[in-house]
Amino acid sequence: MAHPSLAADFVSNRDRAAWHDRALWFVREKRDRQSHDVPEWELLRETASAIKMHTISRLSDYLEEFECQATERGVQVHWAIDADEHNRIVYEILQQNGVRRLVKSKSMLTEECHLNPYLEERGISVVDTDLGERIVQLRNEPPSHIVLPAIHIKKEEVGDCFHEHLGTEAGASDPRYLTEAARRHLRAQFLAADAGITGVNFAIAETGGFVVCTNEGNADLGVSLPNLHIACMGIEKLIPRASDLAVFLRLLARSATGQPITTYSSHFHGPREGGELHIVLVDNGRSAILRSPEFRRSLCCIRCGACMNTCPVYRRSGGHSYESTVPGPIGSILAPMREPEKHKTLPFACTLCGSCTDVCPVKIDLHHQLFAMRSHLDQQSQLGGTKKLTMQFVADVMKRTWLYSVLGRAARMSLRLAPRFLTCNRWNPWGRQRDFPEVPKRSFRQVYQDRRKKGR
Amino acid sequence: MRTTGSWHRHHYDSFFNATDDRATGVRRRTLELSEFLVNVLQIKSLPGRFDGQVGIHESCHGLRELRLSCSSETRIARPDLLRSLLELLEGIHFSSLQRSDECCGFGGTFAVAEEAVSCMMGEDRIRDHLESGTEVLTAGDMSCLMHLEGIIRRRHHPLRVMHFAEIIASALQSAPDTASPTEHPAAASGEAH
Repeated sequence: MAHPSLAADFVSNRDRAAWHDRALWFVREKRDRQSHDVPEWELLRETASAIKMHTISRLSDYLEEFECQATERGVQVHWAIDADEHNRIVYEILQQNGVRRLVKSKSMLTEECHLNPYLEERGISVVDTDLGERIVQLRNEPPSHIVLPAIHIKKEEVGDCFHEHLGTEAGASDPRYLTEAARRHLRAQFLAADAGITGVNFAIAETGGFVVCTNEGNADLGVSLPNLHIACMGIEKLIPRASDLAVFLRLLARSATGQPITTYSSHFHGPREGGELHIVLVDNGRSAILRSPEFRRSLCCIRCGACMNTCPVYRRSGGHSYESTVPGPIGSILAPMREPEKHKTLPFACTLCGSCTDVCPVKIDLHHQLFAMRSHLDQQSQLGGTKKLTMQFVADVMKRTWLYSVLGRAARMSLRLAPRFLTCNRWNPWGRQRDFPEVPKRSFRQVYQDRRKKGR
Repeated sequence: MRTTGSWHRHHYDSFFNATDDRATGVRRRTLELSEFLVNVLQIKSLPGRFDGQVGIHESCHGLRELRLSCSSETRIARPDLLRSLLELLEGIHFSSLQRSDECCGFGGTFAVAEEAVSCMMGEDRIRDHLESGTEVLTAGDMSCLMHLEGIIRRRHHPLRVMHFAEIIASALQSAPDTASPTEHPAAASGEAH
């Protein structure tokens, strides 16, 4: 389905859409307070942006350096060209180790690759251990946000879900009670797991190590109990030096949730004694984005989700309306790059207000890219007939001054004469909820010309 | 001079060569109205008064493309051109909003293609102004105002919508011995854009 109709569905429950908007605006305001408390915030953004742009400009070198350093630390490094290969590699490692039960901390990459259904079809049980991810997993739906996967779900609904799956009291919605129930449930999963999978927030080329940021400590628990740890990362997650981490860790949590730093920033440098550590480096369309000068910058993204929290459209249409693992402004660039046909409405789900660009900790020019993506899709003949024809018509009019003024005059006259039911009805998307402007007798152009004739 | 000329200034790059003198000339000569009044004419005082509480809608392209004031995301100190002009008028006071610079939801074709979200955004902006006691809603961008006024009139909200040029024009007309009594309000309201 297209974004406009999914968004209209979400908005039709006005109270819920307003609640969703407020929930995310609350996070945006927290982010504002935290970022405005850092006097060098803009310098940090500049620095982060420069580091990321530099890294992706020499990505192949840094990837090889990372592989070399990681291997030296006893890590087994794997390369996957796409989602399929990634899933196959992970499955093979699990098979070789006889894994039946797997715990996973939050990883948008494995969501992107649809790893869970792949493994479940092959008889491996996968438990997402991030609380939000566990909730959406139990409800059998995808996350609606990359940092706050269950932000679209109310606590009463979490209560219903836990009642059904975890046996909590019916009707219970106290967050403390529900969290405690989730903790007990997850402890059992951690203890029973044969392997742990994590994502990667930052991989350091210089050291071959990587950092995983969580607030719940679930990544640490998940990989400290079993002997096998698999870390899955997109190839753009690299930074050159360990010292660069300071820049990104300061930006990430402030931008994501308005915290000065995530509760846990777990560093992994090689397998622990007697254990195995695998890293799967995944391309899955990233090289194609890297090749595109227009959209290359989107690879700088550190997945903080700030652009979602600030996006006035995302806040009111909900993450699921994007039908993409990464929704919101950044998702509306990444998704159509990968699958233009499926995601062609996303770059238009945007007013070009530019708030995402101003909030982005790595200074991706998101709204300019969203604008560029529209013509990129047009060049690929992805735009539907009506949109294409309307745009062509407007272009034809705008190119001809005389036609513009003739049509302007005609529009002013017909708007004055037309009965209300012709302009304000449910078939006219402008007039459904809005009146048309009151028509002035004379246009600016006419007033201006008269004044010139009078010599003023 | 335009009511928000961000397209000329920022989006011409994709259509014209950087060395195209005619395009860069248009770019250089394109100014937003408040830029022209403050930076070129250097207006430091305005005669006349405007009684009422004015709510300023920060139009996104003025705010985040032309940088006519400081966005809530960055807080980089910048002069607020529109407000500094209106502040010159006697009797005027301003609303303090819950969300100082959220988009109104117009967005060009977005207003029609994403009608549901567009109108909800507009209503949310209007509610913020109503709750803050705004009597006159103003902005620098005609299209935001057209969208917001469309909703206001449909819902019969007690809000007047005026472009800031109209506010200045009406103040000038009320002033005794005005500096430019011949100024016609329609000339300033900028219908063509």
